[in-house]
Amino acid sequence: MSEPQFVRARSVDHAIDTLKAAGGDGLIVAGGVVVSSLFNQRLASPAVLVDISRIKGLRYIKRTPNGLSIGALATHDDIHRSADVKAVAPLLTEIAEDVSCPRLRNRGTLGGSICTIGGQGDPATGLIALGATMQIKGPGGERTAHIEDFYKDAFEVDLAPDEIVERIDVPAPQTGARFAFCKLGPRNAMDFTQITVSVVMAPTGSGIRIGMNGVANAPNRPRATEALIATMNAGSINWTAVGKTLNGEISPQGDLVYSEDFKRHLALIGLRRAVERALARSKEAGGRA
Amino acid sequence: MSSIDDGEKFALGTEGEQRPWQDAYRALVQSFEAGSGRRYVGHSVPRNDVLYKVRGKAKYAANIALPDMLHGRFVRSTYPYARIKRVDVSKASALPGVRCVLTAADIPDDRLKVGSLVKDTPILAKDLVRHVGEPVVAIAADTLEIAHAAAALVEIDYEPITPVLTPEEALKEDAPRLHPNGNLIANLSNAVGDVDAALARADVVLEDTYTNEPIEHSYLEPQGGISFIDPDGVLTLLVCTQYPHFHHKQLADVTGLPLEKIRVIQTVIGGAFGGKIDVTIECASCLMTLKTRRPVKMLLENEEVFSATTKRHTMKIRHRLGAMKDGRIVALDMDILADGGAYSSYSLIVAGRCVVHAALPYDIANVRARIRTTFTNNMTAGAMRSFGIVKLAFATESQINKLADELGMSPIEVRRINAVETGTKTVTGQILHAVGFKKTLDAIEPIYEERKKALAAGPKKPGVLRGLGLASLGYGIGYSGVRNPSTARIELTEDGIVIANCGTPDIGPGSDTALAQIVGEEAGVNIGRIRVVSGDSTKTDDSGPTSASRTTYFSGNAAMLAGRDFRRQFSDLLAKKLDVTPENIRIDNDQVIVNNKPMRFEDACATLGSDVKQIMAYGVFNPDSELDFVTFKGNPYPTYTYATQLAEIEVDIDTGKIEVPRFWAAHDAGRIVNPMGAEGQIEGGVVMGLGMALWEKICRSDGYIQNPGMRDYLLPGAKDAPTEITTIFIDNEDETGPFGAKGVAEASLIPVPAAVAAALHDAAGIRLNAMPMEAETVVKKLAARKGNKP
Ligand SMILES: Cc1cc2nc3c(=O)[nH]c(=O)nc-3n(C[C@H](O)[C@H](O)[C@H](O)COP(=O)(O)OP(=O)(O)OC[C@H]3O[C@@H](n4cnc5c(N)ncnc54)[C@H](O)[C@@H]3O)c2cc1C
Repeated sequence: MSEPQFVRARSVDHAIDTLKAAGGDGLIVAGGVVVSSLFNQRLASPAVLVDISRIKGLRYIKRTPNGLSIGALATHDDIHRSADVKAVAPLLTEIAEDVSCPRLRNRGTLGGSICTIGGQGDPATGLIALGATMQIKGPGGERTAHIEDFYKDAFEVDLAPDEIVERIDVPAPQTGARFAFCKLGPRNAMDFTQITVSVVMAPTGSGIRIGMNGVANAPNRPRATEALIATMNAGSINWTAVGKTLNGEISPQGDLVYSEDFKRHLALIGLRRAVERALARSKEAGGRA
Repeated sequence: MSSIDDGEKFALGTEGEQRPWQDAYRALVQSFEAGSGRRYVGHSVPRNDVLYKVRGKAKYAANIALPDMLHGRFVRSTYPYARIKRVDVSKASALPGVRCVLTAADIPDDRLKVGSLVKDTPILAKDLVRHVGEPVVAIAADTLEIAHAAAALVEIDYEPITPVLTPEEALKEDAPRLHPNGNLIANLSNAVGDVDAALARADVVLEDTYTNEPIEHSYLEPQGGISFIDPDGVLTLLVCTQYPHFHHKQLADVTGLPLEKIRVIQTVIGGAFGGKIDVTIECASCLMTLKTRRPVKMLLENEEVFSATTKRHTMKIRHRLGAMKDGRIVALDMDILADGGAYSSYSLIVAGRCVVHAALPYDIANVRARIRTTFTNNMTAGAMRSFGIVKLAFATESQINKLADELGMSPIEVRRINAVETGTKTVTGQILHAVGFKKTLDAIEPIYEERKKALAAGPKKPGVLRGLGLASLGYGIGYSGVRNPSTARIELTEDGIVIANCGTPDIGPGSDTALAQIVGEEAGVNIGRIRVVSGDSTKTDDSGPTSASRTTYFSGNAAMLAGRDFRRQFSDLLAKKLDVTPENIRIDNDQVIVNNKPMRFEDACATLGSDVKQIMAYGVFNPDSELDFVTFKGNPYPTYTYATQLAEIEVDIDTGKIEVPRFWAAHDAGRIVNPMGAEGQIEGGVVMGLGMALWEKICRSDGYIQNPGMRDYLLPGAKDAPTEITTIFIDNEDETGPFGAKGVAEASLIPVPAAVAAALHDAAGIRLNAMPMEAETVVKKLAARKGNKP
């Protein structure tokens, strides 16, 4: 019944101190898209709400020698509009364009998206496929984590209660790398039952990195499937064989919309479509990645 | 609270606050001032609620706060069926800030039960709960948070009983009796001709069973309201409802107050679709106001809307259709088993409408229709856009499409052969008039033929199957077989505001605008000076609810008559004042012409001065609709609306996903009062129908609703709607309607699921008889057709 204390963090360190003082009972709010719905559903009752949205210097998109640096507070819309993102990792542009609705894209942040536990992670699939790393800061200092290792289980991420994601570093893919994103759900927007697949493929051949969501407890990278595809000729991938391997790497749960079997079926369809689109892209003119 | 004393729509604020909106509206509709012929009716006049709505100034129940207001909340049953052994509210009552805790024990037995048709629904459950989410305790506290906390402190001991969850179970001999009179809410049937003989000699007999899932209305605004006692001691309820007068009378029964000590005012409303016609918060809120003498605000949460307000009925329709080789349908046999849920609500009305509509829009000589609706321990099923007919149409129209395929005929031709026309005698013996059904077929036919060719010739997308399907409807306007009059009362202010008090409230479609158009047209005054006051139970007679597509036709007729009366009273009064003969006074194009000399309407009003108060124009429309519910003979509705719709779909064969890029809807709704508004109704109805056809279902398990909220309930969004919806209004006038109008609201959704099912068959060769037609089912069916597993 008691309302949480609301702290507007002035800096990353102020936020960390506040979280630390809350002793595990603090909750970060960035765009608040997810947090507000947790409150409305009475699913969250933290003692302290730490608003990081006004922290200066966390909302940016920069080109770096290695690729891109994206501040945790960059919104889906920022990413969608960014010429740098489009130049370096247009896969992220494509993903951002399709996140929910304009209102949500204007508020929802990349940091919030990645850190939403058990939620939709369209951007996470792309970041996994691109091999992105996260810069995380806590009371003990900074550390770097690979996004593909960040998701531990359904409701567990590699983030301490007093840690904050500061930025995401996206290495530039090889010149000529091919990419695609595929999203399959019952409707064309706003579905929680979604199977999303991002792929980044080498400029030639069938070397591939895959990020998937909706087919396991958390976003994942099916490495054995990647390895198998890499052994195949890009023009004649044996999808039955790929399906078998993929099935061993995913663990979807049936829900009110799709059965487990159907999700497995769609996971392969999604992967196939993403790969086919990526391969078709090599024929398109211009642009790297 | 002056706004309430002024008798204006509360949502707009005081008289002074409303004037700017009236002026702004006047400026908005200026372009309609000039011209000849009909000035308003038949034109897309901007809505009179549009300005304050788009500027965010509309006050919904949730936006209204009164000084000293308490916040109410229900404690609801957590069992589908259980005896209540003990209700202990002592801890909840003791919580600081809690001002009232109400249980069934606080309400006299003879006032405990309420209901739209049958008073069988307790305001708060006593002894027994019959569905999950049934209110057991109501709490009012200083803040909503305290009310929540208090709710958690209420202790209820239940003794669970095995619930009855399907109509089949409910009909078993040894089934527990859910209500004193047994488990049947409705058991209605009608037969004309000799169905068995006709089926026996038919060349083709098609038999199938059609089903649907429960649906939530999905209005965006949850039920809410504020009750308070006004300075004159009148118990006042501001509430989002389709039917203020119903609550007014109900509250008199429940509180024991005389009718004149009660007032119910509709707030601006965020959708209803039949879902705001029963009791939810009204009685509990008012009883708590009477106990505490303080305003009480109760708002349902979205989860409560999904789990504890009425749903669309599920029906299992066994359908047999007999036809001759030439396409003539000779017999229709329909047996429906419906789940009415825990309480009666509108089940009886839905059942009656189904029996009456069994053959429509076709002229079939041998028809048998039976419906049984039972109580179960599911959430109560109630009124929802079309009152059951969308499911009937899914069955009958699917059968007719199958028949066309079977006979190798065009689905349009089969319909044309069997279509009702002006002069057709229906199964109830009514002779139809102003029937434009065939014209809707004529309108769709060339589009259908053209698209068929285009799809056959057009480029094929790999992995995508495309198809076309159509379906039709005939639908009665107004309540089935009972008189349901509407009235309107027009007053005038000294500065020339024409106040039209109309009995049926606007629940979102823009009916207040349509009524203003009719008044303006008939009275000859500018629409910008008309203020429609609808939805105040003290300002009009009970004119029935806004439902059954009846407002334009019923209240429109009343408004037209009141407009005529206004013209007469105004002329008489002015004649007396100016000492001329009334015949020498005319109102035309917002001018008053006295002895051939024009005068501004405002100036005429100023001339009348306070005499304007003498004007009390009145219109009542009470058509003769009567039906004997045993013999099913009579005239159930004063008029009918017709349509034919065409869907073009694309089926993704890998994912089973169905997209609907194009949709055409040809409607005979009589003269269209406001084309833009009517088009909006149809586009919304089409998308609503697509929701039902493709996605929407309330998932239930053991009496519990598993997807109680927009997160998990698949309502179609903007990106799921067809890229193109083409609305065609065919030219038809019904001389019994206001300026020839009939009605359109519900009709728009009725043919949609059957049209989509037909398109799916056309595209992919599979027939689905169960709604929604989900992607996973489509993939399985496609695989089964190919003889392999997905
Ligand atoms: C209706 C709806 C539709 C949606 N549709 C889509 C979709 O189509 N595709 C898609 O990918 N997503 C979708 N989402 C998810 C949404 O886009 C993201 O979750 C959103 O970007 C969250 O960002 P936020 O800043 O609002 O997060 P918040 O709500 O502020 O926070 C979310 C979580 O992350 C934590 N957090 C936030 N920032 C940080 C940080 N810097 N460091 C550590 N923890 C942090 C918070 O404590 C909280 O637990 C949808 C969500 C909703 C409600």
